[in-house]
This record gives sequence, structure tokens and C-alpha cells, in this order.
Amino acid sequence: MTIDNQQFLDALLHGDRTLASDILKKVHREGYSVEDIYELLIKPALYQAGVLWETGKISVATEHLASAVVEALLNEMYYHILSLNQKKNKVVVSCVENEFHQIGSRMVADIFELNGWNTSFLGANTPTSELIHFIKDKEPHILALSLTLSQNLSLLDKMINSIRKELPDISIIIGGQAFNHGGHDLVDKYEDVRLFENLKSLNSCIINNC
Amino acid sequence: MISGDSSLFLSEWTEEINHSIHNNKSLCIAVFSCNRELLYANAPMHFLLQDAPFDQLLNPSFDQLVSAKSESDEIFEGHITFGTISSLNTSIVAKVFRKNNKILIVGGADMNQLMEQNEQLVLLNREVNDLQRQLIKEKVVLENTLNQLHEVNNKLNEVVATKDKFFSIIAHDLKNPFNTILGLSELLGHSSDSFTSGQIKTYAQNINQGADQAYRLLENLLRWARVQRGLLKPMFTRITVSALVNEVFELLKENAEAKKIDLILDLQFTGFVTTDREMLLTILRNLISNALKFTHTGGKVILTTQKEQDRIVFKVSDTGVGMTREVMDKIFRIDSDVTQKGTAQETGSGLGLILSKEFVQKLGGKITVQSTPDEGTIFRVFLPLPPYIR
Ligand code: B12
Repeated sequence: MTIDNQQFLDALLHGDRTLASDILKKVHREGYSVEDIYELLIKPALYQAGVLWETGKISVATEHLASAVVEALLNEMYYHILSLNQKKNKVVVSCVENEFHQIGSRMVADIFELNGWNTSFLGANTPTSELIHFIKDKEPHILALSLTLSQNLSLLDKMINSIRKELPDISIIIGGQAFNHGGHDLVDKYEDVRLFENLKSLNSCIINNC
Repeated sequence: MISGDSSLFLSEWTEEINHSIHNNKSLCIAVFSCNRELLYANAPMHFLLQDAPFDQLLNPSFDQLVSAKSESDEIFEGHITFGTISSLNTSIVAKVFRKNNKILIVGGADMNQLMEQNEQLVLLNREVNDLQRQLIKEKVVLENTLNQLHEVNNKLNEVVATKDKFFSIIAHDLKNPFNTILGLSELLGHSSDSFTSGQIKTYAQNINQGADQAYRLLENLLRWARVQRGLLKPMFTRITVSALVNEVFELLKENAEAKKIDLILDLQFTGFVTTDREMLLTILRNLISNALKFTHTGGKVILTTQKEQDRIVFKVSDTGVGMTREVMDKIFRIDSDVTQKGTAQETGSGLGLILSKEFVQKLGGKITVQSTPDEGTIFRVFLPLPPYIR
């Protein structure tokens, strides 16, 4: 079957969690992987919602509703994602300070979990000081940071700087929409900071032991 | 930004303002007469008042507003809640004025409150999400633990059943032949003088039969014990089918003759199999002696060897008493004790069949049974053939 993004988007905008969940389950039954569902069903619908907001067709309230439904759906998927025979690898996934867009990073966390990683998700608007504190305690192999707003690129720069000062050896990966139109020089500045465009490239990296 | 004198700057926009008020979606405005008549309501106020304006004014009520005491025209300022006691309701922040026997309500959403509450709801939603994930995780862990427990429990049950079977065989089946042996040998030892040589011969034969039975049972028991302890691993060698079945027939010929049963060999396949010789020997011996046990004098027991695609089939069929579906379901199970006496009151433990099944599995094969009461039974043992024979 082909994925019907329009019907799915309508369900999100109307807050119809049941319909959205039915569509998702159907696609899942058809054999689409979690990664496919995230990239081909959920992401395009949310991007389209962004266009509707940008052109004044929907309100922030509707945006909130749509993202609340999506987060509920991601939780539904979690049951299929959880792996119990976990590897020793640990990852901490977080958004940059001041960033409220956490759905992309949630997906990133799920891809790690699917691959058997011990995954900690900190989510939206995590203060850098708290993040550093958490990492020191958890000692992950990888720190994954998500950035959506390009206006926050300098914040990310500052953040990586402070993290590097306290934890010089931690491997950092970053991604998110802020890099769709630039920001790559920031990545080149640091050693052992890698940028990923989407879940597919991330997944193949995880499979090949990152 | 709040600045300037509204009457000064807005008076020249009266028409536009009136038009906007009428079509606005967030400013709610209504005019009532004091004797309960709705004179005007703009679109969002209509939405709040629905078709029953005086019922929908939940707090304060219309009557409270009409009878409110005030020095000035303004009679109320605060939240007005619309709805009924049986619905989810909405509030606006509003002012109410009373003038010329009429009442004016003007209000709208409290933006500050909306934003604050929106933020709080988003945070709350986040917490609920995290909690839900945590619950799902714990559920999966629990499910997994439960499955493991279940598995261990099944294994334990099997171990207990195995142990029970072991003791029951020792207690009954192995003890019985010794009763015969001990009883008869004592009789012979004490008073052999008073017996005829014919009688002595019969007793000696009985003792021999009892010893034979006990020995075979002991052999099965020991083999089975070794299987249980994981000590018995098949040793695959190339063996000639005809030589092996002849050996089994040699062993059981006398049993068949004693019961006057026709023991027939139908060798349709005579090649080689690669298998464990001892195990296959035990399987066939158990199946045939079982068939002899449950077949009446004058009946038939046939062993057929056939090639079927990439497998060899050993078929043991008899014209015996057969069994019901119920019994068939239990004969290979360790936790059931369906033991039945043979047609000549032969005893048995049922261990032979269980052992045969375990051996067949170790040899990578399959065993099936098919039976009709009073007509007979067919056991089939399927074993894989080496590739060059397939
Ligand atoms: C939902 C939403 C919100 C929600 C978010 C709720 C939540 N729980 O996340 C709310 C209402 C809070 C919100 C707020 C705002 N938003 Co908004 N929002 C969106 C919307 C519609 C969807 C976001 C989303 O989830 N996308 C789907 C995910 C899956 O895509 P993704 O983030 O790109 O992630 C993918 C990849 O980038 C990658 N990835 C992401 N992170 C990482 C990290 C690593 C390590 C790796 C390997 C990969 C990776 O993996 C994902 C899968 O491929 C977007 C539209 C859009 N184009 O996305 C606008 C959008 C992002 N928002 C926008 C704006 C402007 C805002 C606000 C400023 C204004 C507003 N609308 O209120 C505020 C800012 C708040 C803040 N400080 O962050 C703009 C941003 C423009 C810009 N400057 O770049 C967008 C693009 C809308 C638009 N078309 O203009 N928003």
C-alpha cells in the first residue's frame, strides 16, 4: 500500500488519536518498519503542519494538539521498540537548551532503543548544566543532540563547548532541521562531532557500531 | 501596549469597529432587556448562549445580574461561566453594564491565563508521556519475566514427572518380575523333590521369562536415565537395514512363537541408513515387542521398510487390540500413566514408547501412531536418509 499522508495529517489536526493510530497500525501491519513509519508517515505530516502554521492556516494550539497526538502514537510504538536483551552501549538523547521541538529527538532515541542500546531520553529544553550533570552520572558512549531552530545554532555551539570542557572524550552526534539550510561549519569545527540528516543514515551507523 | 484615549481615537472608526465586533471570534458581546429578552448577540456569544441564553448563563445567572446592586452602570466584573451543570463549561472575563432597563455583557478569553495554562498543559502532557513509556517498559519486563517463569515451570513439571515415572517403574514394573523369580526359585529350592520334571521345566521357564523381562526393563531404564542426564549422544554410522531388522527379529522370534503370532518382515527398502545403531535397535525392538504384547494368539505383526522421498520409514503394524484416540494422545507422554496389560496379561511400564520417541528425536526423525480399537495399530518411524541415497 502507499502511505496516505493527507488522511493522517487531517487526523492529527483534528486531534483524532484513534484514527491516526489506526492508520499507523495498518501501515505497521503492512510491513513498514518503525524507521519507515517515522520517516514516511509521521515526519511529512508534521512538516506539512509546519507549512500550514507558517501560512497562517492553523494556530499554535492546533500545532500543540497535533504534536500531542504524535507523541501518544510514538508511545504506542514504544511497545514494539523496546528490547530487553540490551547491549552495553549507552546513549543520552537530548534537545538543545531553549528548544521545544522534541519529536525528532524522540525518534532518534527510539532508533537507538530498537538496536538494543541502553537509551536515556531527556527531551525538550534541557538546561546544559543539568545535561552535563546527567552525562557524568550515566557515562554514555554517545550524546545525541537535536536542534530545530536555526536561530539556536549559536546556543548549540556554546553547549558543545561547555560539554567538551567537562567531558573531553564523549562522542557527540547531532541532527535536526536547523541543519537543513546550513550550520555545517559548526560541525566541522569540532572533532568527534558528527551530523546526521535522517534516521536512515543514523540507523546504518548504529548497525555498523558507530 | 495600552495608550491614548480610546474615545478620541476610536470615535472615527465606529462603523469598522461595529462591523468587526459583529464578526469577531474572540470578543463576546450581548444585549438583554431586563425582562428576559435577548436583544443582540454576536457570533461567538451565540455560540456560548446556544438556544437557551438564560439557562446557559451559569454563573452569575441572569437573575443575579438583573438584581445586582450598584452605584454605577457597571454591575459586574470577573469570570462569567457559560454552560449547564451537566456539561463541560467555558468562562470568559467580562464586564456587565445595566442602563435603561437593559443589560450589556462584553468579554473574551483571558490571554494571560490561556498562555499560562497552555504551557502547564504541555508540561503535564510531557510528564504523562514519560510515565506511559515507563509503564510500557515495566510491562514488557514483567511479561518477559513471566514467560521465563513459565518456561522454568514447564521444565520443572517435566522433571517431576520424569522422577515420578522413574520411581513408579522401579516400584511396580521392576518389582513384579522379581516376585515371580523369587517365589518360584524358592519353591524349587525347598521342594523340588515333590515336582515332576515337567513342572520343574515350566517353573524354570517362568523364572527365565521373569528375569528376561526384568533385564530388558532395566536396560531401557538405564538408557532412559542416561538420556535424561544428557549423557546419551547418538553415534552415527552407516548400517545395513536388512542386517539390523534381522537382528531384531532374531531377538523377538521366541516371543512371537510363544504367542503363536505370525511375525512377518516386508523389506521394500534394503539399502543403508546413517544412524545410531543401538538407538534404532532399541526403537524397533520396543515397537515390535509392544505389538506382540497387544496382539492375540493367531494374529499378525508386520515390519515393513520403505523409502519415501528423502526418508526411510519403518512401519510396525499389528492386528491387535488397538487403542482409542484418548489413549493414543497419552502414550508418548511422560506425565501420563496409561499402562495396560497385554493380551496374555503381560505387564509393562509404557517406558519403551517414551524412550523410542526420545531416540527418534535424537536421530532427527519422527514417530507417528495410527490405531483403531479391535483392529490394530500402526507405528511409523521416519528417519532421514543420507543425501546420496535420496
Ligand atoms: C510540532 C511543532 C512545534 C511544537 C513542538 C512540540 C513537540 N512536542 O515537539 C511546538 C508547538 C512546541 C512548536 C513551537 C515552535 N515552533 Co514549531 N514546529 C512544529 C512542527 C509542525 C513539527 C516539528 C516536528 O516534530 N517535525 C517532525 C520531526 C520528526 O522532524 P525533525 O525534527 O526534522 O526530525 C527529523 C530529522 O531532522 C532528524 N533529527 C532530528 N533531531 C535529530 C538529532 C540527531 C542526533 C539525529 C541523528 C537526527 C535528528 O530525525 C528526524 C527524523 O528524520 C514544525 C514543522 C516542521 N517542518 O517540522 C514546526 C517548526 C519547526 N516550528 C517553527 C517555529 C517557528 C516554532 C516557534 C518559534 C513558533 C511557534 N510555532 O510557536 C515555536 C518555538 C518553540 C521553541 N523555542 O522551540 C518553525 C521553525 C522555523 C525555523 N526557524 O527554523 C517550523 C519549521 C514551522 C515552519 N514551517 O515555520 N513547534
